[in-house]
Amino acid sequence: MAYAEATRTEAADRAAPAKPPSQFWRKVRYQLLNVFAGLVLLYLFVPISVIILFSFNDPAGKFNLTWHKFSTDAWAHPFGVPSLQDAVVLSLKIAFLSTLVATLLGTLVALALARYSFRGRGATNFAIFTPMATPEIVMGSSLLTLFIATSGWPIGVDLGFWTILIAHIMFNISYVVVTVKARVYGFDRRLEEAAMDLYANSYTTFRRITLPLIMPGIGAAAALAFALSIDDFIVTQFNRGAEVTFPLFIYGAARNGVPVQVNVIGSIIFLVAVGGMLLNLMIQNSRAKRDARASAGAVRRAQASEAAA
Amino acid sequence: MNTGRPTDPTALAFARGALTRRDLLRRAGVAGGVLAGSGLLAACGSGGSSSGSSAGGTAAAAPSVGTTPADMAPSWTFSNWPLYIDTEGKTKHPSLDQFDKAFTTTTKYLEDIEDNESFFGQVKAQLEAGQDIKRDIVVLTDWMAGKWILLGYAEKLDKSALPNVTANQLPAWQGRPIDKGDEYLVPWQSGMTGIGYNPKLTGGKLTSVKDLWNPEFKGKVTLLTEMRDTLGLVMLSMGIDPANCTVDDAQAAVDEIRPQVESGQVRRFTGNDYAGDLAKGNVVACMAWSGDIVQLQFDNPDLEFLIPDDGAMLWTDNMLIPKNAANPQNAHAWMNFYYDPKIAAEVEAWVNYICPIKGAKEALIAKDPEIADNPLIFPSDADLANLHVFKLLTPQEDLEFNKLFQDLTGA
Amino acid sequence: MGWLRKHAAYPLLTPGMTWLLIFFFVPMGFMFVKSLQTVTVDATFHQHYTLTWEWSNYTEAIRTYHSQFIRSFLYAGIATVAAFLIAYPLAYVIAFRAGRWKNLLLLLVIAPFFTNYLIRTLAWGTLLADDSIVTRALDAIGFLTVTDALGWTSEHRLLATPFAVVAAITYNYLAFMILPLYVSLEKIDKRLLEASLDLYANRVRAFLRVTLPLSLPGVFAGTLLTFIPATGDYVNAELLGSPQTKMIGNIVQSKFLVINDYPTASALSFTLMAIMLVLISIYARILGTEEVTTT
Repeated sequence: MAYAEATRTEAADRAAPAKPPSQFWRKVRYQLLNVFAGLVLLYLFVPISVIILFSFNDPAGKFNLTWHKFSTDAWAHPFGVPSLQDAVVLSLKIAFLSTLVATLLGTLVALALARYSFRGRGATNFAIFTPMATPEIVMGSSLLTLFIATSGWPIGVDLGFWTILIAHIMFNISYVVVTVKARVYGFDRRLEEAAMDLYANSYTTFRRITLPLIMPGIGAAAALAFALSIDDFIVTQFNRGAEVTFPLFIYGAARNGVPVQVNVIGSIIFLVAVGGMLLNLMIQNSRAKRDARASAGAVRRAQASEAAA
Repeated sequence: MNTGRPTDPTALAFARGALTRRDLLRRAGVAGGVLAGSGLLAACGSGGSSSGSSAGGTAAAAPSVGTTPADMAPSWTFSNWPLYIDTEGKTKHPSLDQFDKAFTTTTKYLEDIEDNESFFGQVKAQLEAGQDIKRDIVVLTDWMAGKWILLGYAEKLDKSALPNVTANQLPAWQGRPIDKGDEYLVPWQSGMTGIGYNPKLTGGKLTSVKDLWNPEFKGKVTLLTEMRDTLGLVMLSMGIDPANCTVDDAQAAVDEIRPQVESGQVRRFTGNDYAGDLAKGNVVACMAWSGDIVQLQFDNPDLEFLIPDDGAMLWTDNMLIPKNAANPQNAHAWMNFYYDPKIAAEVEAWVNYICPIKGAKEALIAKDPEIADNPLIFPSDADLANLHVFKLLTPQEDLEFNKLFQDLTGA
Repeated sequence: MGWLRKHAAYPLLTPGMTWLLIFFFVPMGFMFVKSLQTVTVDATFHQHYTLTWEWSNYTEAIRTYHSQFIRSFLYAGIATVAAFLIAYPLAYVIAFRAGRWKNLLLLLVIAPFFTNYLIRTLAWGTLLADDSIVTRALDAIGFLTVTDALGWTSEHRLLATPFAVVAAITYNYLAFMILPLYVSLEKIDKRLLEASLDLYANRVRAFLRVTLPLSLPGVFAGTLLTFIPATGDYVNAELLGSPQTKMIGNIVQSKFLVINDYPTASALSFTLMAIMLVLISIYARILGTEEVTTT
């Protein structure tokens, strides 16, 4: 009976196709996900390609909406529009300053939260979380209310550069705290203890052990803060008075034709950011490779000396 | 009321020598004394209200400013609507360059006034606090300019520094209710609000605001965010005179428009940004400003401007010195400089609106007699009879009218 | 010095938290007070504010603008769901299948969001223009007829329709969905998956019973980070929308910056904030991730 079954299945096997259909479809289903992911990636880049493409456009009129003809004029004179230059400079100034201050303040808070237990810890966490959970329009408008209400006071600030700066620092702090905190959490405190065992005081320990090790986190936080600041529109629009940052310039120009230079500057910012990240990636990769090689070399040497001994 | 020049194919083509000056002037032109006899502009803003009187504003005497080159500050700021001055290439302004040379100063020219209300919102807090808003001249439409005067946000002018203005300002623009003594404002340009459309896409000529409600144009019509323009035109189409309208009239106009908005007939409410859509064909008919259409005709020669049979709106944009501006002497010097007919003609040739300066028309016509045919710059007498101004609203009426309108636009 | 050692946290906290106190929490108080004032205009157009405990500002505002509120939540909700459906597979592929290309892929995913928000949105305006390739293609395959019938688009065009606004919101906040999802997916111990497969689960079951639940913190973070800003957004509605697509953000912006009706605007803003806080706490409770504010 078993033999008959066996021969039947053997015959069936010989008659069957080389690859069972279920295997093929499984592969297709598997690849489907990858294809979808690839499509999404493409979708992400569609507007970017439009932006870069239209930075090479020479529009017929003032509206850069239809492709007219190819020209590198805008790239040759990226600051050809004077008020655009002022706007970009202002954006950079504010981004730089707000990043500096927010990173400093935020890092201190992150260190406190990650290292120490203290009364009011829960409240502090809540206070850090709330700005991230608040719609920008609420943050911007409430800040505006403050500035308007205090405009008559001696400490009152006029709407303009300083109010924009204050607002940017405000919303950046939370993001810095969260980013640095994550890094500090992953930090091995035994390294600090080891340093202190070796007679380093807390200041030296901090400077030579802690700070370098959490520096990547601080760097990431600063990069995030810079990016958020230079791109911010809603909160800035509410607190700007009559100042014009780069996003505000675009918003104003949108009604009357955005100059091609805006696409150019947008593309430049994009390329600089991508370039920076690629560089960072490559540095990390080579560092990892170097570390791997170093430790592999150390292991080999240890084995060799053992063998010799 | 509002003006903005969204496209400058003219300037571009001109700068590249593709257009001769003759072509330019054929399309452009100047309408000066044409409006003088109508007394229309004197009535600008007249109506049942008395709030246009000289109540409000500061009682201080006008400062006396010297306007010789020696008196000038090294730089000053002039804030205006987009494309509202002669432009070569994309950023050169010959009239300003000539001014800078003659008075050894540098003009910082900003085109950052996109909308009366938005601009006001930006600088309001500083003006209220008595600060310098870092602009020495701003250009505002008559109703907003009147508001600034009442609020005390405008500097009184030193007439002795403005001999050209006194000599060359056409009578139609003098003694208007918003500025009875001509103490605060110097008119920049006047214009008309009517219908801009593409006859090829609408299938023929239009004649009235009501044509905007044609179901064939669904989703391809836009109205203006400027309340006085939109409600004014619609009131005219309903037989109401905007110069004497009441809140009920405004309500009636809003009720007329509302179903068109809700059904999607009206694509959206725009400022200057109707221009791009119109030139591209996304919009086939819209409420538009006269000078824009002239300039858009370079982008799309099919476009036309219509003064509806029922009437169109007329308005004036004015130069004004904000309170506590840092460089009033430069501001005065420019105002005076602009009122030289030759300079005004240069600006007019490009801007294509209605020029308030005596002699500018003659200067241009001498170079190109054909521009007399341009109905947008030289409206005929019949057209003139059809132009209306909007009533000057009291603060309370302003609030109520705006509330009604905002409900409509969803603001 | 002993006190400092014991309470070292406080001097570290003070500068940052003071900044937040003065420039985030105190303004909320000011805004609340402003929302209870009445504004009157005198004969010279000057505005005067008096504190009259005008609770009717709230009731009036909600009564007049409730449709914009609902619309904002609707658009933001749809955008969040769409973003989730788009982002999850991508995050999954990068976390589980990318191997050593992980970081590069992540970089590619984040890179588009380094362009300016407004330029991106305007680029969508160009892409979705009435006569663009995209619009014409969609029209040709009948997509627009379907969406017209659903009321998502109108007159076979994409601009100035709810579809354009929601699509733009989805795109603009996609990064906020992808990154948290990726982070939490990446942390999952692959051996758990292997274990479940060993226990005769097919791949779908393994995903539903192991991967998805473990990625919940990321889902939570991602949906929050997308939904919250999307609700208050007004840029997309303004640049790509029509009067019928106005969101609550547009109203608040216009009331604050153009019309200068601060009491009503403050009331609207405060209401939005309150609703968001309530929604977040409910959501946190449902997902069981109450420790979102701690850690």
